[in-house]
Amino acid sequence: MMRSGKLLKVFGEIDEKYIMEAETKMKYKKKFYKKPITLAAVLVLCVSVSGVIAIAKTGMLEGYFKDIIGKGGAAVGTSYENTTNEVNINIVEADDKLIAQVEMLYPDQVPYSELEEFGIESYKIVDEKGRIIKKGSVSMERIENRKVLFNIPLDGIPKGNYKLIVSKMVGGKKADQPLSIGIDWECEFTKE
Amino acid sequence: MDDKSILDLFNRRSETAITATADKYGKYLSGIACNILHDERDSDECVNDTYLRVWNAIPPHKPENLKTFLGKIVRNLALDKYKYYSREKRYAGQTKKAVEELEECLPSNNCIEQIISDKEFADILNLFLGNLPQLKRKIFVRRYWYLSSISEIAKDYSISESNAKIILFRTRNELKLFLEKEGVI
Repeated sequence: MMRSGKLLKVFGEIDEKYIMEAETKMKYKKKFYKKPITLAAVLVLCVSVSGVIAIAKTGMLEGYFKDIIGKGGAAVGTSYENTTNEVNINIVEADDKLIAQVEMLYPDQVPYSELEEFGIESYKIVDEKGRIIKKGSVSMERIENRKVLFNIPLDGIPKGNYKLIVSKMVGGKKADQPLSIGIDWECEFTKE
Repeated sequence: MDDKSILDLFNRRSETAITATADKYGKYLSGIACNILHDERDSDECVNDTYLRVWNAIPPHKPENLKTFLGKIVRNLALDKYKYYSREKRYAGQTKKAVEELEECLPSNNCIEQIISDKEFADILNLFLGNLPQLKRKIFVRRYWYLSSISEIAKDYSISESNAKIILFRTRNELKLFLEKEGVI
């Protein structure tokens, strides 16, 4: 039975000239709709995480700065954690490599507004049984229009299904110490 | 960058094709996805999935109009996501209203799918749209293709919201009659 939801979908197949014609007056401003549950999760996270020395001031970000503690118990640096929802990673497989596009979703917010370069500090590729097939890092590339493209070579990896796991990224700015950025991101892919 | 150059990049499997597409059409695609999903993160996900779909589709596909090709993909992806999550009552807003409005055009016990394909149905919709006055057609497409809100449509076409609602209501009735006349319902 064709229900209205389906009719809406079939409506998507109308002639392109009508789609273009109706688009002329559209204004594209990004709308921000936040689900209450997400905001609640951010609040809980902000008050419960120990070792937090500074919470991102914007209220939009879920990430937080954290001291890196050295062997003697002293702070030896700062990292930025919990960025999974602040960075988009998108991969495509092409010619024996993965092309990863990393996009900063909040380029105007600290720390992203301060960064000039971005890299992958730690990634691993695991097979279907969870065995690590490859691990490594990708050196920092310049951020262009809030996005960075990386190549992750797949040479030597046989055909099959794998998972790319990214656990740490790194951001940089001229004359500054690189900022380690914690992320929890993974994506399955098939090498053909 | 013009569309031809972007398509050349896709055909040469150059990764800059994705950034060029995002730069040129990112806002357009986000606008469509946001209209349907009303959620920034889900919309971004759909837009990124669109880039992947396009990367996998070109080549061999050669879209005549890259913009609408991308628009159709992101719209379909967003509607799929909407359908999936609306079971959890996660989304509300324009899409739900638009779906309810379109229900008026279909009788509750119809079996269109059994006698007509999506393509044939789209052809009939094109015929219907082609017969509409331009303003009515634009407003109808804005509502049911772009899933724009009544207030946005009213503002963009400098008409009152009640006027926009009346135009849409009458056009839906005309569509229903047209579908009956064509023997679709």
